[in-house]
Amino acid sequence: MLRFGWGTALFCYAVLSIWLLRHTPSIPSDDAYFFVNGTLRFSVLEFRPHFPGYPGFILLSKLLVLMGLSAKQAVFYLSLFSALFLPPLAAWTAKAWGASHTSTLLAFFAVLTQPFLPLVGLSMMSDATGIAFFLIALAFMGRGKHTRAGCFAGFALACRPSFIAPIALALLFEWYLKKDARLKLLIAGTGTLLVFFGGVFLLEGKAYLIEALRFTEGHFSVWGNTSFEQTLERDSWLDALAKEPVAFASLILLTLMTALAVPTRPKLTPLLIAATTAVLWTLLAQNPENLRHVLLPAILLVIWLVSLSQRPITLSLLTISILQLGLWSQLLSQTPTISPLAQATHYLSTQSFSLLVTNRGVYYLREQLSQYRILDMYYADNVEAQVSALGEYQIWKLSTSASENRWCGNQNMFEGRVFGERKLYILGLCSRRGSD
Amino acid sequence: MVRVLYAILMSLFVAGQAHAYSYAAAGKEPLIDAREAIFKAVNAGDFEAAKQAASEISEELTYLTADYDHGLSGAFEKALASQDTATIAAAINRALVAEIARRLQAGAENLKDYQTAKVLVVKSKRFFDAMAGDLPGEQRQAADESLRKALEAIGNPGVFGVGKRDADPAAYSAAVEDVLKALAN
Repeated sequence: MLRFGWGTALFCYAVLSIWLLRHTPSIPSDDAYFFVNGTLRFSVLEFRPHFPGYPGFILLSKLLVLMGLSAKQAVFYLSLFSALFLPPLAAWTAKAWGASHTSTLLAFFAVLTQPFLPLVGLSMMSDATGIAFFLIALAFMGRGKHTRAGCFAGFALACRPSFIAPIALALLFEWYLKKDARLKLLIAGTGTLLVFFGGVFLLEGKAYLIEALRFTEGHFSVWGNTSFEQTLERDSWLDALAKEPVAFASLILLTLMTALAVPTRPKLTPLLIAATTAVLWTLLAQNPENLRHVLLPAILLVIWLVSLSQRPITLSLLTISILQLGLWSQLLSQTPTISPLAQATHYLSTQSFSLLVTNRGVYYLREQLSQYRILDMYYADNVEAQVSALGEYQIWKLSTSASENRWCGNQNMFEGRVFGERKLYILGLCSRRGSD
Repeated sequence: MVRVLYAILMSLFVAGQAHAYSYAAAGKEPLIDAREAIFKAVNAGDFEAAKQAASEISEELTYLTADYDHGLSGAFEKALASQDTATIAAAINRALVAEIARRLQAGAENLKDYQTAKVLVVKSKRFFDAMAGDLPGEQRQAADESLRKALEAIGNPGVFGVGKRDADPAAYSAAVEDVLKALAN
């Protein structure tokens, strides 16, 4: 039975891998564009990539460039293969935390069928690489190899510094539990971080610290769309749920199962601490517009749940995984294509429009579309004034909404490739004044 | 604790249209902030409020007028008096160009101090990014390319001397000239 289960899971793994690998590298966002630029020439102050520089991820993508890939291919395949490594790494981590053979298989299958795994794989972002290193760190922690755990936790943070809360709390809890491991964790963890971020500091100098303050403040108060912003104008996680209800259902079920399971197994472990912190951190400090943030808490919850090896949980997880697998019919029926941003860029490059308003991929579009004036929607009042003043121009908007006040939809819609990837629309201006 | 619980509730229940984001936007920049305030007033047809918003940057305008663009303050006043959006936009962009010139020229004076020169050039790029949407594509790309050349011309001390590149004052001046030429067109 177990052999059949692994055979099925590996078949599904091969199917998803082939489908994802059929995609051509294409830029889906400005953040991905910054990673490509950073691979060509690293400079945090110039947003190549933006703060904190993601030195681990950039180092790995530069290694791929040395192996003959272009910068775009390097970032794309690094992100994609990191995502494809997550199911086996989740199984390995679960095993290290005491999962039975059946539960190990279940960890592999439940992570493989995570609805947002393909999104992370095609995102050209460092999430999957950061999660992969974090899982390796947790696996070594579960096996009592604390030097390696510290090193890989450092690598994870060098790839994805925003995982600081779950990683730091998991390490601190292990530090609290195991006195003999403290020195190893401290030296390995801080040593790895020092190598990476010390290297960035040597390259960037004191301006890196100024940028650190500016960027951190900006993330929490200006653009990060986090819960700490003092504004009512933000997407909430409930909005995200409304947009992708089916894909979100599994995370909600995982959270509920964890809430029900915790009282039966109240023993706190670094794994449980990491999982619950990841849920809270994602809710509080991550942007609900980017659904890829959901993958880390989902994977950690799966690993903790399977590590309990309780029959009702196993059966529930299996049911959830099979339901998740059912979503693949929508996914795999689509022909692999390029990102909505790349599709829109290609379409716009063949048109004679003269002015584009957007807040999607502003830097990328400005670099790609030399025939356009491209106004950044962040400066909304400036955009409003320009749109009102430039009567003779034909003005278009690239948006994630099918229609907006004063902007009319036309036939140009660019589909997302996977769950959680937003469609983009090109809208025309219907009236010059907002009140019209 | 109360704040965290409040934040959790907000993260779940607060709905609304998410605003756009721009990584270049954080940090107080009086000129860029004033541009938004002025246009907000202009869009509402309230030109008194626009003048009020402009008065917030009177110190900056006086400084830039004295050292970088002699007609700037006058042009600003005339533009506000004209109550014409396009004229006001042109005056604001003129102020932004003067601000870019200020940073780049300060960079030229600090070529021996790599860190300071780099911060100045990068800062000028933030102002450029803020006004880049007002520029036709070719002009925008020409200025962007020249800014990249200016950054290259400040050299690089390398890490412990590895990868060291000396600053090239002539190349820097030429790049700055090209930036300002592209923005002036």
